[in-house]
Amino acid sequence: MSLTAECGWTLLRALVVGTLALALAYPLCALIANSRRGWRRAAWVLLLVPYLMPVVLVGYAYSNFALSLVHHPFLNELFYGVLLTVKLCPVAAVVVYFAPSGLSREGIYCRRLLLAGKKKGDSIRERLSFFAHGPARKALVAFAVVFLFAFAEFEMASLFSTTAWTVSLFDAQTGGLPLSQSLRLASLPIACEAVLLLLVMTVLFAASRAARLNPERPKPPRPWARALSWLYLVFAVMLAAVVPTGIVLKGGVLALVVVKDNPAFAHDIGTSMIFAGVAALVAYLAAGWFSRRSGEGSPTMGRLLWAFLLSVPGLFGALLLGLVVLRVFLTVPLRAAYDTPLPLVITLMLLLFPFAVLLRVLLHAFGPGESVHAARLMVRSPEARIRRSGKALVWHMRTRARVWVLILLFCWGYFEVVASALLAPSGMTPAFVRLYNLMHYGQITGLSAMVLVTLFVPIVLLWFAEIARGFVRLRSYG
Amino acid sequence: MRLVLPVCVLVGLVLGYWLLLGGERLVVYCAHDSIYSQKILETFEKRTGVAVDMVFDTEATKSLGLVERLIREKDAPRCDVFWNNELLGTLDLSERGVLASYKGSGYARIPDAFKDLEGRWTGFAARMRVFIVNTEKLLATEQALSNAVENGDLSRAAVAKPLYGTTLTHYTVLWDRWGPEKLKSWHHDTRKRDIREVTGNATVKNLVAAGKCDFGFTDTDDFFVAKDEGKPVKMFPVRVADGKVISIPNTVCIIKGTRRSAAAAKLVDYLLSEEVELALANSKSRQIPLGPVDRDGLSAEVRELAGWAQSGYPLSSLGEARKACLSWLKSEYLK
Repeated sequence: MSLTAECGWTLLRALVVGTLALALAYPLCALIANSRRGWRRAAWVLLLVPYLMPVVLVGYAYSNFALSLVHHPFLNELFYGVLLTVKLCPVAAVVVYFAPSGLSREGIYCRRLLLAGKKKGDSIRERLSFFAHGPARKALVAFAVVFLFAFAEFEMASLFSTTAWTVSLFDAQTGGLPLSQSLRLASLPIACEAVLLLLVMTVLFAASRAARLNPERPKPPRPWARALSWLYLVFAVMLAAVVPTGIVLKGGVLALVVVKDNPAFAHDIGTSMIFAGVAALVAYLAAGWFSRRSGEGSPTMGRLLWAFLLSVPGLFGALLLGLVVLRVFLTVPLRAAYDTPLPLVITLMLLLFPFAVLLRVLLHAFGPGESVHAARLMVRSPEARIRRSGKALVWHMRTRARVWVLILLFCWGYFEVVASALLAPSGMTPAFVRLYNLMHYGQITGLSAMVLVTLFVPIVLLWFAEIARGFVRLRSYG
Repeated sequence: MRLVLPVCVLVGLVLGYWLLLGGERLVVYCAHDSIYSQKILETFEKRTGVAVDMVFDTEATKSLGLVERLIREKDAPRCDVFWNNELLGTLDLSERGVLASYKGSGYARIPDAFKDLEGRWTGFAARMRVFIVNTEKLLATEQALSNAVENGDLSRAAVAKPLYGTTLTHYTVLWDRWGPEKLKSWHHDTRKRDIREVTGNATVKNLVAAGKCDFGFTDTDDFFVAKDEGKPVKMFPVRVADGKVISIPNTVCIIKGTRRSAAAAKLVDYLLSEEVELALANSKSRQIPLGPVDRDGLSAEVRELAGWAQSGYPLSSLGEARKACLSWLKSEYLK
């Protein structure tokens, strides 16, 4: 199959995955929005766990199963597609849940009043117009984000040996395909991604003011839909988290000694954390700067252009962006910085930037702006007790969400493989690059142990950070 | 603005950390499997005090990835020593002027057939191309294997993509021996007969060991992994005309422009030593020593392999054939 045909196949798969994820997202959002607090929290956890499981771990865990389907490539493709949908459905659900609808509750009410006064109801054109300004916007954003993820997916496709333009291009490039040819082959996927992102940005900015008005709450699901939604959530967690972790654990815990005997691996994990931490922080700050530059006014072409231009490099995907950066750092003026951490830090930052922008725009659109302002006023109070309450409120309403955005960006950077494989300076190999290389040998007990350790180290560190935060808070309360 | 300072500090720390790591560390690109080569390089580090930064390749693009990288970096080399797991890619580098000459003590102990007379590369510790057969799925005789290869459906046979690694060497040998037309016809025929083309030799081994395929083309080191795991497998050497086998040595070379030539020479001599050849022969990969070694220190399996390797197809003149074969393969796969 030619690269162009593979690109077409990946595009088709991303379209199907995006549609399925969107179709699943709506009932899940209805379930979450209409559940009591404890159940809602449980549903959120079940929903997000599949997405937060690193693709490398899932791909590695199922690689033997995928191998067993060597005589049934269609089943292998199907299995990969299902896994991808399950992993990306949370993204669609989060966007559907949080993204501004474009029409306020009041607007929808006014339309109902208008309709009540009409004998015939809306014409098709009016209905389409309402749909385009309301529900379609949110759906488009959710679909586009899932599509972008599915279309650029590399690690799982590679470990499953499925057809994907990313895998072929990576192999072809490392096998000697000239950069100009790679870029030519990638022009179609780049164009698709760019158009989609531009649409997303337009929709989000256009709707950001409407979001300040309470978006419409989804209708309560029927009992059977509720039961099916819960069933899906459990199935998704089993498929994308419990079973893969079980497979890796089965072989891994017995061989933790391998990791102990391999001090270089601890260095690799540290390297991964440093690169991911720095890139996430820089991307987050850059996205913040961009948000501030955008201001609160209505969307302008200039603002959209800024968003678009700053996000384009990241949309090239890790492979192409990595290659371009590599080539740039091989030119004479930048050659001195070629074998340094700079190329990788810059690439990771550019990769994370579009997602940082999206997340910050979502935060901005959904965040309780007036309440945060009130809490900030409380922080300025001369009375210590009110100041403390104000700080706690600011943390709960704004800072906590920002910290989670940072953590998410960190995780994306930490689990990134392709750009790291191309650009890591000698002596600083990120852990997942080494693991990815080893994963092609098949499942080995020692390798499973290394995967487990790589996965759990940041989790443990985040847990420590949470404990430390709690400790600091306790002290600040005296 | 409050966070700008910490970010600058962080980026500064990363650069500082990297500078601290750098200095006189020897950068080694290694296409040989890290599970075997890493220990040897670590022993070298401990023994000589020369710190080594190892850069490994992926299984899927084995060796070719690093060869292409070295070509790309020719004007700004970051690598000091290249440990390739095959010869033909090294020949390409040599022709392109990427390699420096060095004839040390290690070079002296390797027979002329396995080294460049100008000292740009030296071979050591070879592997062989073999058929791996699942003994529960196929009668483990050369005749049965020959019948399976020649006739009918190949959907239960596996081979790695020939663009990379030792499968590329295999194809180059056939290109040289059969001529381009016969190889192309054979290649299209095997694909028509539905041969399973997978990402690497390890995957071929995994498929045959698991019984998902009956046989496949792989290397001896991968075969021994399956054998050591107790899988029902047997191997037969892949023979081209005249009964010649395809024996593929590792090669080591120093990159032109290295700033650490003394340390690089030290590593090259170490890798070409009898000690390392014996270590690789006695490792799970059972590589065949090319220089003189104490034969009592070799296992029966390696001695058998060494016997087969006596009739190895000459590879050191296949530079042009590789170039032509790779060019054709790229036109087949990278379109």
